[in-house]
Amino acid sequence: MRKFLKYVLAIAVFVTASAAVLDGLYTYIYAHSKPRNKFQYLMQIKPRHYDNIFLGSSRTANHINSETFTRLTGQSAINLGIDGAILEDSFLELKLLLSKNVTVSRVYLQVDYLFEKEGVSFVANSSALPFLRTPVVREHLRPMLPDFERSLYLPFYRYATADFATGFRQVTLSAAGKKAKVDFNNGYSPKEGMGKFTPFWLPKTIRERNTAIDKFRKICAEHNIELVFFIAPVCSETGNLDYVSKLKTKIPELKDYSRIFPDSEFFNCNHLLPQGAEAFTKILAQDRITSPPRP
Amino acid sequence: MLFNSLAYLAFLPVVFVVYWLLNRKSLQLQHLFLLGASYFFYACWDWRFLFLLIFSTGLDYFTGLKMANARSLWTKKTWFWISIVINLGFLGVFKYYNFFVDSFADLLRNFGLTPHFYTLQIVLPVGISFYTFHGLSYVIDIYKDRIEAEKNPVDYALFVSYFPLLVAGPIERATHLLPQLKKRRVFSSEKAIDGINQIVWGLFKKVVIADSCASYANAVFADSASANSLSLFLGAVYFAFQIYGDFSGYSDIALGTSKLFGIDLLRNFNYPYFSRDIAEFWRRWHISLSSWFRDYLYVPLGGSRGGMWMKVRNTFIIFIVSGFWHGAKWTFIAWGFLNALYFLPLLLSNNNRNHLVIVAKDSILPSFRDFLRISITFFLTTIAWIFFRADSITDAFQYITHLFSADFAGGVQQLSIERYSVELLPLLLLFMVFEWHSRLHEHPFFGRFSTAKMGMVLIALLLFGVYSEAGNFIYFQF
Repeated sequence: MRKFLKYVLAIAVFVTASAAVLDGLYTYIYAHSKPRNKFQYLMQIKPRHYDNIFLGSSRTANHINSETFTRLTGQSAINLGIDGAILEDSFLELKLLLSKNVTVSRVYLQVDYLFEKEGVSFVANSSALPFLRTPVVREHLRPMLPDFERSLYLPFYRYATADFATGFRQVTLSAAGKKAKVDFNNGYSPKEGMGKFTPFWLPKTIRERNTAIDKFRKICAEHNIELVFFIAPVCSETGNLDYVSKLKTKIPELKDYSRIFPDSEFFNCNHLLPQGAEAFTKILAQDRITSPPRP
Repeated sequence: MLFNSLAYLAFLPVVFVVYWLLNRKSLQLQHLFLLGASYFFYACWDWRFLFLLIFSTGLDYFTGLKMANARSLWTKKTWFWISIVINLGFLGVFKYYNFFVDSFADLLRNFGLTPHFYTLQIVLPVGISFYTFHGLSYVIDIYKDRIEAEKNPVDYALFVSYFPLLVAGPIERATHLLPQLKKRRVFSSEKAIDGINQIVWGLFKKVVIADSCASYANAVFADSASANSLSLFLGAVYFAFQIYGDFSGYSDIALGTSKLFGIDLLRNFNYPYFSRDIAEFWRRWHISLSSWFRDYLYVPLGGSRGGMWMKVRNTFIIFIVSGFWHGAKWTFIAWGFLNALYFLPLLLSNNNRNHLVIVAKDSILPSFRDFLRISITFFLTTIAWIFFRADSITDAFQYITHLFSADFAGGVQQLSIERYSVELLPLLLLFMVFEWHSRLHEHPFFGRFSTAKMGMVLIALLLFGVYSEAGNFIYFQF
């Protein structure tokens, strides 16, 4: 039995030590390599001022060209939309910006079916996991991640459980200094090609509230940031479009851009083609120019 | 509870420690504890189906005793058929009822009728095909006077419900497992270490090979219409490795776990992808099921006796039934049928028992001829897996047609998962090198470099393991 126990112990020690070394190595690489996702970019951002930031999911990331927006309005802008992100993820991004002494005048927050989702999205927060020991990230994720303690204390657990987003492939690409497809200074990632026009359904019913909205209102008020809620365009085939009016009862100031484009501008039912995205950016910029000054 | 879960990592050591502590007390207590642990393991899936398992166990135990004590052949036969009908009845209701109803309705629709049959909205109990087959073999063996009925209900229940083999086999035989349960086990460090090694290797096959391949294969099969021939070929190859890594990995963990308790289970895989023809492949793939069908279906049907026509008929029957055993879908039946077709030339030319020993047993590399044979067999098997994986026969034919259309537009394609189709090939190549090197053993941890190999595999488990999805084992659904 002793021989067996020694063998098992040796395996356990080897695995734990390797996990600890790998954890340190991965964390170092993600902290010091060229950003390959927006969380990494935010972690490395230097203090500065943005006139406008755009927060949301792929329906923000694919729809707003910050460069075009800046050219048309003369104001600085960055698109921080992340594929699969929900409102709490966007809130974490804003908190990170503020913690890095970045000042912001106006936040555009995409709200649509995202209103129905609370907590954290795996997609977005897997990118945040390498920075779990950063106080802002840690405190944000603590109440939300079901396996927060394991992620924080078990070496390499956070990388193993988010292997697709932060695993071997990504860390190798980061270590090799491989540039991301997206220019993070702009943040716009157009959807090229032609997607499938599968039916897109907005939710049938609306939840009572989404706590992230309240958090956004609070933090923006505290930092004197103008907060603009908007709903991005959807195609004519979208089901339950009356959800938009239900959403307006929850967020009266919501800017509704849901049905402003014909289907020819769409990659699929809820994502615009690049020309549609440019047109949408122009509309946002025009609205920005013509919007009344803040009281 | 999955073998590749943290829950199992906690469950196994507890069971291991208590089991060996009880070894000093009594064998019965030890078995009772192991049975309790097995029922707990099963109940973690769905406790309601535990009653079905217990009922099935009780039925076979009871009918086994009745057959053994029967005073006339008629009585024996009656109890035998009661057991067979109820066992197959459960399997039929839970696994095949909806399939038969849907297929019959489709048939009637072809004649312009619009039938409205009632289909059952039921979940398939995990492992039902496996434990039913355990019970069937036991009952058939008693009926044929090959074994004596087990009088100890705990030992019999443990034979059916022993947790390492409960949900996905290997399909054990009473003649192999029950005698082991009668003897007091003595702890052997060598055997337990061997068990740990096999568990680690099984885990590697599951979380590194199978689960990595699954993402790629799923992406290709989901979007096969826009994939080119190269991606479709790779998609099929990835699925071939997914199902091998998944099922043989599971079997390795099961066998390794059982070794920790001093109990040997039947070997289920023996490097099937190094087979030189389809007959050899079926002697090396899911061995416990193939041999079950051989002993309890092929032989009773007449086996190889009665001329070539009988042989051909029986071969097609066991392959088709084997396909059907995997699930109530026409794709599985087509997969079985295709394998029977592959087998046919070997059968007709009496070449189906040519390769009984592993390839290149006494050399480092295979001969060119053997390499060619292995490649052809792998290719044929991979084509058959397309039917196994596809959602429908039509999808499978479309996939194969597109695969052979020699459409290489776009070269190496990026899949919907934002990975290039060829990315996994180096890992698979390395895996095959490991497999080739260990083909005379159950796992690669032997010889002078076993520690180094173990280190590499453990690091690979950390670096390349897929833990985010914690995918179920494919064979749990059967």
